[in-house]
Amino acid sequence: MLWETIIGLEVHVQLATKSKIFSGASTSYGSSANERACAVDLALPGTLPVLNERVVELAIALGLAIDGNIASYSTFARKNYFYPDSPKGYQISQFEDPIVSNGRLKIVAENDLKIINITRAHLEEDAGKSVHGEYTDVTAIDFNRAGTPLLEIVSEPELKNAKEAVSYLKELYYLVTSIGICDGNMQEGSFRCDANVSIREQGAEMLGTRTEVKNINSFKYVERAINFEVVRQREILENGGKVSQETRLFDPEKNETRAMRTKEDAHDYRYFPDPDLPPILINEAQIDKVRATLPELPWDKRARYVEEYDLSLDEASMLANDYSVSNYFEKCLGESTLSPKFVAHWIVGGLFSLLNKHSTTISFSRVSPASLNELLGKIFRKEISANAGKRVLEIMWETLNDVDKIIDEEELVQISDDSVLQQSVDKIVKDFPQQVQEYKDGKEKILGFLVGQVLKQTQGKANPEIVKTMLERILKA
Amino acid sequence: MHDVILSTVSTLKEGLLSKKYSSVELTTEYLDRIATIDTSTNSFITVCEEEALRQAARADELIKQGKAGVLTGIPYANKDIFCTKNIRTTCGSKMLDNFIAPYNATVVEKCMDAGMVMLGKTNMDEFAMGSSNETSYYGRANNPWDLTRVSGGSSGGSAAAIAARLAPLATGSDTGGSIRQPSAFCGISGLKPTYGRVSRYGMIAFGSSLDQGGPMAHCAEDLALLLSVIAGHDHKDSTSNKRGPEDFSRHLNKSIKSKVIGIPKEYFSNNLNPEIQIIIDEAIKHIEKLGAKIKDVSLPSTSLVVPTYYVLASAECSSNMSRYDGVRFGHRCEDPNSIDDLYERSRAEGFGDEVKRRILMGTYALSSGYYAAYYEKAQKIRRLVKNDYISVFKDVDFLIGPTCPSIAFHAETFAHDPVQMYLSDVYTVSANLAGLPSLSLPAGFTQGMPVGMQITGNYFKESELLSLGHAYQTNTDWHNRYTTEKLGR
Amino acid sequence: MSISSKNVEEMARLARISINSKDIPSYCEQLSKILNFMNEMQSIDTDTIEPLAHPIEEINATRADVVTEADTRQNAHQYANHMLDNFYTVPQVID
Repeated sequence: MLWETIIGLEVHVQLATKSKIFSGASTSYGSSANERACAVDLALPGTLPVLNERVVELAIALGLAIDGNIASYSTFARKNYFYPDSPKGYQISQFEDPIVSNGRLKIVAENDLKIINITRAHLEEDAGKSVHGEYTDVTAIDFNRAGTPLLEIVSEPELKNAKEAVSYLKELYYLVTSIGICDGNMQEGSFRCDANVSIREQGAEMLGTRTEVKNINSFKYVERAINFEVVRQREILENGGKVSQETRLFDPEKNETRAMRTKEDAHDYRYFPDPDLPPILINEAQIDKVRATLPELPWDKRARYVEEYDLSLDEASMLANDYSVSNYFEKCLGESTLSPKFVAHWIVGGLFSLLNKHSTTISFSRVSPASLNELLGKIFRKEISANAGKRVLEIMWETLNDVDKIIDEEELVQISDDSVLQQSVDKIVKDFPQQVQEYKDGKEKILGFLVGQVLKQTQGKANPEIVKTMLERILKA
Repeated sequence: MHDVILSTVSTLKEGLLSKKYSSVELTTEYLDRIATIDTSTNSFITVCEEEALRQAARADELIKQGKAGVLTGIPYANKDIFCTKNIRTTCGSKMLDNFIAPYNATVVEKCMDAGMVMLGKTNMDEFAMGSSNETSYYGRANNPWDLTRVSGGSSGGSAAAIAARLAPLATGSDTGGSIRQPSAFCGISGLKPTYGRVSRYGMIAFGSSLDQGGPMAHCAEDLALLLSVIAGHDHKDSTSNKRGPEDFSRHLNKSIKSKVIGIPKEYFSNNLNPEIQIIIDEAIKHIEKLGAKIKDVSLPSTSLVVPTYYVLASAECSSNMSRYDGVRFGHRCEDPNSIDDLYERSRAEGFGDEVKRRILMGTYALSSGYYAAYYEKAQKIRRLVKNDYISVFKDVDFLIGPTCPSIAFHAETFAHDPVQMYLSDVYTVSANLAGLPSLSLPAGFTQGMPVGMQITGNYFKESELLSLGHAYQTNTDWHNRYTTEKLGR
Repeated sequence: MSISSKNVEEMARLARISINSKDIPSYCEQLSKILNFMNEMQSIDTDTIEPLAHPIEEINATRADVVTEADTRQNAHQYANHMLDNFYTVPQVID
């Protein structure tokens, strides 16, 4: 039996506004419980929602970036359900007239470009947070998050496997962070994914029963959750059983999905137009205004890096996808005349290893673009060797001292003085007669060993190219 | 001092300015009356003696400094549907029996800024659902004209308080007639403004697309004064109209000559009580004598407005009531053993029968499989109702008819028949469906009970409505009558 | 058309209101009467009519993206049920 998998993804993106979607409380993360939940967020009697104009702008930005249709008339609806973190007993969302529809995203699937259609993107409010297990016998609720603006982006069920799903998610993530509509902090819940997964026999017309795995907030977990689901559903069907349509959660410790214990009431949300909110009307002028401020999109940036800077697609991706990396990179370029390829190489090769080593991101880099430029300048002008450069970079990170000071203290200035080098070269030729003979006999590769010995002898400070030239002259003579 | 309570607000105002009495004295007079009389009318849920006297003293200070506004120092009452900061706001329900609001409704804030003196919070049908004030957790408000009869609802407390002269002004709310019907039953004047005229922020929601707060008083002149204070755009209410505050008293004395009055034939069918028919006919003739032209018109959708209204109101209320879940505020049941137990018992205990019925019907009307036949259908008929009015207002300036098909009924008349009670809203609900301003004025008496005349105007034409009402009241004195029923101990 | 006890139970469940089984028959009766009354709407054809959600079609009521509420816990003690360390609490919910 050959099976095919069908996946649709719903991504909840927290929009980067200062205040909530329907109230004037702050959206900042990490305050003490219920400090940022105002009367409207708590659904106190008589309170009413008022739409934050910025969320409309951010939704339009997303719509433009995915080449979608921006509604000229968009309405809010109430999605009615009871859950303690939902204070009104309904969520204000959109049902019939979403703000964005019919967009698309290009992803790389098996080395080919594939277009994934995006059915719609709509505005809604986030719920509060339930804290289970902190206090005996009770669930504690913090409404700080209640009312945070969300844009729910729904894809068509066109993804065929977990890898495509992750590819789509990553591309969407790069997009929403690059255009500044989301801060991208997945640990804080800024970008959450629900995966709808079903399988069917290859060639079958009908879709299989799908399950929804909710609220996954890491790419790694999405991949695992989908893979687990596919196997689980296949096993059920191969044993003659039926897949139940249900909502499941992913348990990262057990690496499996399990059904939620609280059954949502057959999804009867009883949607109806929210009488407290008039429709949003959007005209061309508003769209043009947003279009004018739209930053470069990640795919355009990648292409530009490849074309203009002659970078490989991999390097271009590493630099372009994360907007804070591309900002850093472009700042470096903007403040120096070094070749972009050279700078790219050192960021991807040198700086990234430091970031990994210290488990941090470029926004927290202890080496600024200006300092990096200074260092790269010295390497480029061969004042220090590339190896020394790596050392200096590490010490810059640790001590925050400036480049010259470090080079001085570590005595890393590259020796390019011929007379000094000649002394070392002569010494090595004398000390290693066997290897010298091997070279003369035709083993050219042994030159590397001899260069290495000179470097060792000079504590890495000898200019390796000059050393190589000198050795060749002596040995070939 | 006793005569004072029979005066209109303009007279009270003059009295304060000419130092005949102070606001503190005036307020004390009303508070004393409430203490002695309200045992029989039960029109107040909460009386705020200390706070009222404090506000009155402050008002006297402002008057002394010459900084008084039009209504500074005038006592009034707020329907207990309006949130009042640091003061209990119950909405007539056990669910909110312990709820101390942390903010003022915009209406209350405006009255405070105007220097008015709040006597207390008036009785009402639970969560504004009812037409008799019998569903209140705090017992029914009784009609001062006959204590065995209802005051009407849901703003029954405000209407009874004014009729019994326990306050010269009051706020009410009207979703399907809740200002106009109790006004008619109690022989006072009440106005439901155009939807969006008065902010709904802090006014506990029942049917959000139908609710509107408004003034209740003895006469149109007084309604204009209070409306001028409470109307105006509020950025906290997205459905609030952008029009700013207006002076609704400015054109009060404008002539009504050449105004055209439409008489909807559907309102005068065979079902109308003949005594009421006579009174309304008289009133219309009177208005004709004042120079207005009378024209017969038709509102064909009238036969469907009541079921349409009840579907929409129930649907919206079923959603609006979901926040009363015992989690953050309000009534919570004892020892819940699960979250569902918490919800189900808190809500079963906190809500009365009528509220529960409407929540269940509203849930039904919205549920999958029934949405199109009920909720959506009602919305379509709503558009037909609005279209009827738009069409009719091309040819007329106002529509006049009875406010209610009957006089105030005896308590418990509809105890087992909610549908019959719903049917009595036939004349009032259309204005809520269409969002139009509508006024009820005392127009006569039958069987010793007041009868109200309803005048509906075009969108945002409150000034014109009130000037028509004022013209009528300058030439009649139904609104000046006072009950002969013995009130109080 | 009538409302069955199953309907009443379903609606009560969706609306989270507990109803005593002995009260169900009277709910069925009353709600059926109300439903019949609401069914009068079906007597008119509305196929070509657009639904009206807002009586007055006001448009674009928005606010600027500024924080206007400070620490909001100050008044909670006045109305809040069952708080623990500034959290609202409910019986343990298991997902």
